[in-house]
Amino acid sequence: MALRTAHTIQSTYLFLALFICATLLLAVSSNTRYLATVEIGLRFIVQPITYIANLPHKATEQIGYYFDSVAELQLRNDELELNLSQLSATTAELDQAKATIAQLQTVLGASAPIQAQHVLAEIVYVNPSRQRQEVTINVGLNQGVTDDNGVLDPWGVFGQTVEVFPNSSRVLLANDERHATPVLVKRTRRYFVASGNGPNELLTLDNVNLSADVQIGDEVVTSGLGGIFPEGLNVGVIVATNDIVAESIKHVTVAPHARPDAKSYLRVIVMDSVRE
Amino acid sequence: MSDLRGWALFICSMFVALVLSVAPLPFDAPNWLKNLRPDWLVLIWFFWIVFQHERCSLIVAFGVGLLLDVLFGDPLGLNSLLLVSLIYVGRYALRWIEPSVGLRSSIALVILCFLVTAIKSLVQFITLDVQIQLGYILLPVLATFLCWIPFIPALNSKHSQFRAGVH
Repeated sequence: MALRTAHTIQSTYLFLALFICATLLLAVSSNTRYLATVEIGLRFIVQPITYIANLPHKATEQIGYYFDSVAELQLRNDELELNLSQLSATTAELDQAKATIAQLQTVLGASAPIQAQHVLAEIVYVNPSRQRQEVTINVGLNQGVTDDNGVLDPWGVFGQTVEVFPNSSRVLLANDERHATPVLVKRTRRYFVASGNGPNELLTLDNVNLSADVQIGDEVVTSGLGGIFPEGLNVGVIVATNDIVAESIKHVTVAPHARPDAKSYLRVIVMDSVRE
Repeated sequence: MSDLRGWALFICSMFVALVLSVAPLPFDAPNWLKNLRPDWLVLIWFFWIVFQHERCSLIVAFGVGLLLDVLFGDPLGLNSLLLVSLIYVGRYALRWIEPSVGLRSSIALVILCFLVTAIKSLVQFITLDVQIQLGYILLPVLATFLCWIPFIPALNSKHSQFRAGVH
């Protein structure tokens, strides 16, 4: 009996010590970056867990490729070649446009826009948390990525980096409830903020006045405000507008172009702060 | 169960629970399905508390909690705090559970799982500004309870053996 009581007391002391320790860790890690090194070490330990967790998914993909028929592969190849030729033409046009813009800037004496470089990245881990739309990508500080860099997929704005480690970064997706992107409607050049609404949900434009000229089908692009995304990147297309007369606002829904399910390469926009 | 085999099973179950906790679902999976992911760590720890509570080390729970923090992108310490508290409270609940393992362990699991999920959501709301939704809390609890049902016969047989040994 005495032994059991001693054991219980010992266990209580240990519990209290660990409880206090965890609370301190929680307080420090949620308010400062002092524990970043510890987190990097722990990330190394959890790598086998994430690798094994992703195995079934990867295996399904590989088996899918294996059983693709030659005709399907040929079709896919043809599509890619067509895309490549179209992109080559677009690139040539863009180069020409860039040269014209540079000439005009010289004539007008205007400053050059902020130069942005792209770092190619791949998704290595999808955060399983139900409440948060986050992924981890395989580039970080060593590749020049910093906090609050914009991330794009081939179709549009994907999200932004929120935490950067030496060789990986955590990306908050554009449809996360905590994410907001400064945007403009291409047709009218009216500025808005597009907010995420959680998993599988569309984006919404905040505080749209009842009299604002927005129509279904309008393209929404980044406005360049906020310094995370340059102007003109595809965000989405307006798919619904509802007037809320009582609040004198319009509820505008935007279908994002980004496709997180496509598992394609991502581009991290690394803004060059030095202006030419 | 030999001690070595028991420990091996304990470690394997923890590893499997961690893997299941982070196994990816398709991006376009419906929200209800995403919300129905059971809290595997709570389930497995609670099973071991009821099955062989002497294996449930507070220090191991603290370490597993840290790994979970990194895997879920939570502030360091959050899951450690919850797991350590779960084990401590779970051990105290054992005396109440033992007379009727099947029913009472299920009730205790639902209550503890609800508390763990609710506290986690509250801390995430404070520290990460993640909105609290009832579906995020209740559906995982329901899924955890449903996954708990297959464990009940094992616990019942273990406790009936124990009682037979005593008498």
